[in-house]
Amino acid sequence: MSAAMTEASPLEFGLSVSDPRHLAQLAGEGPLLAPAVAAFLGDAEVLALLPADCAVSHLYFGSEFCEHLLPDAADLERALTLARQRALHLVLATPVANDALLERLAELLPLLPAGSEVLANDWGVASLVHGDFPALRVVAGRQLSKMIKDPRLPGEQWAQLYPAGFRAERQLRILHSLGIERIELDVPPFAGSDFFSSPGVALALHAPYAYVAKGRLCKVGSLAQPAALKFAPGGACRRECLGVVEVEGGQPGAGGKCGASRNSLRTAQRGTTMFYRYDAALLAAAAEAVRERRVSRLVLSSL
Amino acid sequence: MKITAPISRLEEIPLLLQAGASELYCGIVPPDWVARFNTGAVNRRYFGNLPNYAALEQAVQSAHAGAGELFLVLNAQHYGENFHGALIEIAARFHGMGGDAVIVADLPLITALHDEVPDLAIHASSVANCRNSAAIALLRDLGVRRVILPRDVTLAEIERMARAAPDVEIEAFVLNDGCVFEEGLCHTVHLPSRLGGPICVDSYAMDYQDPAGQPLSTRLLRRHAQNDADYKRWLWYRFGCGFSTTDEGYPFGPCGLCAMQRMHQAGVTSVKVAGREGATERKIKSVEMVRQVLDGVNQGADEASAAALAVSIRKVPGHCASGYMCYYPEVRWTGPE
Repeated sequence: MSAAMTEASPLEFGLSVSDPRHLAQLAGEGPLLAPAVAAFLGDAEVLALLPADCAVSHLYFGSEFCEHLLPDAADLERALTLARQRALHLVLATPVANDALLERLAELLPLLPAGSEVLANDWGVASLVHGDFPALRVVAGRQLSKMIKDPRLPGEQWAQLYPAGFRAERQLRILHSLGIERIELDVPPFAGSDFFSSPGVALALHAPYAYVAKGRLCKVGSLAQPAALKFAPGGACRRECLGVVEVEGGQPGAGGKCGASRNSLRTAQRGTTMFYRYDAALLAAAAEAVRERRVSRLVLSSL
Repeated sequence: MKITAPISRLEEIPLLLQAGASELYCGIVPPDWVARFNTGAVNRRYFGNLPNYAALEQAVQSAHAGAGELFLVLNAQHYGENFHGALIEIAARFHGMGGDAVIVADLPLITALHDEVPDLAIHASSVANCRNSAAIALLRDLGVRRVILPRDVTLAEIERMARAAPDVEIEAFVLNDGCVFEEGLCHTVHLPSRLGGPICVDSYAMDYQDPAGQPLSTRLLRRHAQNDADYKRWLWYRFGCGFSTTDEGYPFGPCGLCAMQRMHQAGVTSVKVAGREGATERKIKSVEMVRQVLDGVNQGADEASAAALAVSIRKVPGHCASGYMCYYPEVRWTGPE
């Protein structure tokens, strides 16, 4: 039996919602069970990752990937109400922040009940929450746990160019200095379930999409902007990303060098961020990591 | 305000100092590195590195002889823990040579270097993606002297961070090389071109659909097609305008010259010219261009006249007015007042 399997804590399930309009679909009472989760996500494949009797324990609300999607107080209150009705723990997902966003965040955080989690993808956010809101718990998001996740890699050796550093003792020291006891990860290309080991910190695993790269300049967010104001840092948008995604088509571009056409990791872009969907091998690795309790939480999301 | 410029060859050092830089940065791949780790990945670039320690020592001496400083990049986004010993060794040897600072992105490595080579200054790389004053404070507490801000911050953000952290030096991009994604949040490999190259210019064929997988209306698709055309034009600027130059050899491409006066006012320590892998002539011309604007700023040019000077050097006002060539498009050239 692996060390990971000896952990006594029960498996937790998170469901991620970034569009506040979708909260209403989850309204109701009683536990959110696997079929309801699959229906909400419109994704029957996730059922393979979920034990039959599982119920969602954590509602992730907000955005890890865009400063324009930080909820306002009214939407956060709606999410908190939903969480109370469904007996869920709320996790506020937050993106990389500038100082203005830190200020907005500092106004939102007092709304969270003690013990709520803040998913931080920015060391400044983690520092703010730990320093000024000690009743809240900080979780290190995927953007703080670096690893190669290029969906085009032709072989496993490419993934070893820069080995993932999240297990480093010094990384753990930094995390612990900020009160962080959990980190969140994707399944990188070629990983097996044994990738998920990190003594000293609990792991959460995201599925069925991994984020590949995040920008600040947003193509679809520039849709309604005058040409001269498009693709600018911090530029305005109309949250176009909530209504449109780009998915990899069947045909590579004219150059015929479309990397992703060579393997089974299909990519998609939503707003600022590129993702890949787990193929059968990575879904199997995720399922095994869950089954073996190498991770103590599984977080499901749509694109 | 200083100019920080890249070198990949020893002969570039006096040329860039003469052109107006006072800080230089370089990389090295020690000869035994590949044998030890089966990868040439000591920093963010496989190419454009000095070949050995002897060259690095000469580089330090040459920079100091020209009254410049030399920084060493150890700036991979992340390293395995098993790399730390070797990286500390490189940093310690660089410090022993008189090297001035290391540029680092990986927080565990920052703490290791602060503990093991405590007298060597640490600059947090743009790859560390530090975008707020709380993150700057954290980095300062970990031992960082300077924070190199990522691309795609606004001038207002720079000003605010500089005000909030007067005890930390701030360096900001001014010329050359643009990423589509945030450098510190892009987990891909710049593959050889036969395998697709950088992912942001790989020839993906993407289709728009709504989040439920349904097709968009024809009208909306038309709008996205126009937006895609604008984006393609922006990418051309972002990747150096086809590596074109003025008749004098000044390179086009991502540029923050018009923002220099405000950076100077904000107390920014240094402006960064990117492009370690670039040609020597490109580096020299880049530094010359930045120097001309900096001299104007130092002589009291206000924001508008500094921008006018920058545009007069560029000689293609259309590029400047597009905003697509700007690191800081909020101060893009809109014509003489």
